Amino acid sequence: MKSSIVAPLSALASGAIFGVGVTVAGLGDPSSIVGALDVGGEWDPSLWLATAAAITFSAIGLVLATHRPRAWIGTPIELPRRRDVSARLVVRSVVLGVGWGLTGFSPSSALVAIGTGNLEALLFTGAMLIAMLVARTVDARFSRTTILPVS
Amino acid sequence: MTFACAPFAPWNAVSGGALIGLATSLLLLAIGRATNVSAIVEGLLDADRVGGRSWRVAFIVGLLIGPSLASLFVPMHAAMASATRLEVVIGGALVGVGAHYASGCTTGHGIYGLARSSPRSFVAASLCSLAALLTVFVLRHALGSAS
Repeated sequence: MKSSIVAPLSALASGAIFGVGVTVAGLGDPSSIVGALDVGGEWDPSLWLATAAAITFSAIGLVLATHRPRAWIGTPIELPRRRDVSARLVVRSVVLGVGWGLTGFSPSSALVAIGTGNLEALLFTGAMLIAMLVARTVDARFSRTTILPVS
Repeated sequence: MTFACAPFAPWNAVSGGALIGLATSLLLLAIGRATNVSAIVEGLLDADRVGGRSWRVAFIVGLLIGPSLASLFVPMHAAMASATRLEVVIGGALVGVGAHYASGCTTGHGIYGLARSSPRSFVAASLCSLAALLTVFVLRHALGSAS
């Protein structure tokens, strides 16, 4: 098969498995995320259990990938190479965490929740996209650093 | 559709997490891409990225149909709103600014970066989680508003 078909089909399968995983783990429900973050209340550890399992199984794919130079479609395997810790990273991570704790949605869990007809998730994703657009415009106008393409 | 997810059970959490890990492995081995959901979404905003757009759309469509597929296998219950609509909009904007340029995301750093044992991702995931824990604590306990 042509890579032009294999790539979107693989991505569709990956997204669907990811979406099933988020749903089965209960992470599409924002109250489950907030419950996992609420150490002072009725603590729900599902998020942390799911994350540990996800890290483990992601690591298996990474180990397999290190032994092959190219993906199935023939393109090079592109892994993020940045390992540095910048002030910008620190600030953005904290800002992201506040938004995550406030709503119980992450970019992925919100998309999965939209698939259940969750209106809050749609609002969240709309606000996220608008904020990304604004941040990109501000960065492009006021920053001297070159804009790094999204991997 | 009002269902959102399966009720909490440790086995569900672990098997769901394993599926998430399988999904990131599939994306990496099949098309050579790291799974960073916020970056996949933000990549759609790049006008000059036509060639790299179809797989992003396909991945997002997959996420959207995930709950319907899952409902074939596991019992579902309705999601409970944990925030007001205003909080949802503010929170979405904060996540958008925080995740922009793939600088941080629960999936990209929290799952994938930690699987790569990247120090950058360790810092990002830890700070993100601490900020979220603190936010929930302040909103639920310090301010006393059980939302």
